[in-house]
Amino acid sequence: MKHKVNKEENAKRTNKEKTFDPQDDKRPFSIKRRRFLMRAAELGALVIASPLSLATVSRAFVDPNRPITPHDELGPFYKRDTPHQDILRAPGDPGLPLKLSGKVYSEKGFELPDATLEIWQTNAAGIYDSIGNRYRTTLIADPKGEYDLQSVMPGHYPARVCQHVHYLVRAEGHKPLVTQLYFATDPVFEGDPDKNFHRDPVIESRQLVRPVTITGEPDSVTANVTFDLVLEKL
Amino acid sequence: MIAWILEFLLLVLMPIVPPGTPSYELKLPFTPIYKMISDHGNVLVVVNKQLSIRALALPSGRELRNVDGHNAVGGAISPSGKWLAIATRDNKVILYSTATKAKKMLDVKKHVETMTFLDKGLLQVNKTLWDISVMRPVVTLKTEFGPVTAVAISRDGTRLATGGGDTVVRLYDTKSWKLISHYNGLKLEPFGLSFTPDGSRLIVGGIDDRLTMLNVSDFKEIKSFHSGESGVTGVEPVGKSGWVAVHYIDARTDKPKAWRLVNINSGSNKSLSGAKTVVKIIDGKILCFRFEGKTLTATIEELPHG
Repeated sequence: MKHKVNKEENAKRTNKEKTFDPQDDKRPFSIKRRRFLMRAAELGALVIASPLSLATVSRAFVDPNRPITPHDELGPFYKRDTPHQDILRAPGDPGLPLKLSGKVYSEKGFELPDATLEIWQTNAAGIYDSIGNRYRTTLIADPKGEYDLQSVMPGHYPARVCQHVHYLVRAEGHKPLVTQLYFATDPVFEGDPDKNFHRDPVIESRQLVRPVTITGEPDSVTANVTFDLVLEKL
Repeated sequence: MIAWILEFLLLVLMPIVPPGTPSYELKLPFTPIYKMISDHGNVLVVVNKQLSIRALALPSGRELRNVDGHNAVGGAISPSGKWLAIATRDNKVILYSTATKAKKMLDVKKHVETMTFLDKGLLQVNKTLWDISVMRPVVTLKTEFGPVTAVAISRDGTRLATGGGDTVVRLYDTKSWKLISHYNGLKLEPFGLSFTPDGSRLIVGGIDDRLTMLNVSDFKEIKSFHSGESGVTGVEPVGKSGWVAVHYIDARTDKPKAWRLVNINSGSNKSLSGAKTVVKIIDGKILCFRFEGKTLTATIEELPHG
């Protein structure tokens, strides 16, 4: 009896997959896509390195829409007209070398070439340069919407709980995005940013706490962080 | 009634006390971690570590309002001391009268980043200016990005100036609430703004320690110079003297650092007081309210010569 029910359910499911419903045109495609992704994962063609479920990955393939990057406080210590420089770490600067990279997208998932990224942070000792432009830059995203930057892991600014990097991102036809990047390795989170990100009351979203990958040789390690930014349309 | 008469007499007699000598001393109910004094110098608000909030009459110390139990994130006192505004963690601003039991509430629906009380019953909360007599928004203040970092109204009430996180200083006509001018010559955010008593100049203090003087009629820069300390977070012209009381924070720790008197014409400056002081300019006189533990000492300071 049980076997029969399963057979009927399978038959229904197969029929549904074959039926094209203009009101629900993503569903058959979604199921096929999910199967394809499952197969790809089984064969090793798709590796899900981050703690995402297959359902989430499936949605990402189907739906180009991206969640808008959450806002976070501006300052103080924002400075306008900072120079273009993609290497902020001068030779001999103390601190763990940090490579920041990512892409700028619209909420529809389109890359935004020529987006302007103003990025500023403290040095490794937790001090902002308000007189000059150390650890401050204005970058223009490349034709693929990508940016990258060589810096150092910022220190703990005494008035704030967590290490952070400020971003102001602008692109034509989009609202300016003011936000901050945080590091999952920050000792404040004690290895569990999901649970502890509220320890810094300024952090408005867990999404702003990014994983850190360490690369290089034992005597020259670099922290690498990817921070993609999604802007809201005007 | 006797307390009211005593307060009136003390306020009247205070200005004739010789400069630099204590005008009065007051025992506070607890050691405050935050304190605010109304622009008229008649109401003190103290907050302790447990976020107990007391509004006290000055100079008597009589308790006007006891506000406990709020998850407060910030506060402001109206220039006349009549209203106390408390911003809460659940995105509300609660207004308490210090004269009656009246209480009003604004649901601002957003985390309160900045809040300032102005004359004419105006309260700035984030980018909205509210008229608290009718509890309605008056105007949405502009910034290209970032918060409104400072706000000031001219003495005659015809002009409102704002500073923004985008580093721009803007000038509004308060009749039409139209933006009439802007100044974008600053590199860092302005945190101190004040009109001179005659309304012809606007003094702007930046987080980079710069003081900038703007001509209100054309909003052009008259002069700009480093004032010699850390980040400026408050400016108060001392009557028509050309001297400005300037409040500085330590840019490294974001904590109050000192007050100095800076002459906006000559650029010369003089130390006024340390971090534990609130300075108010009342009727052209410099009043320093020093806090040490549970003790408040109010003194009148003299202007430097020249």
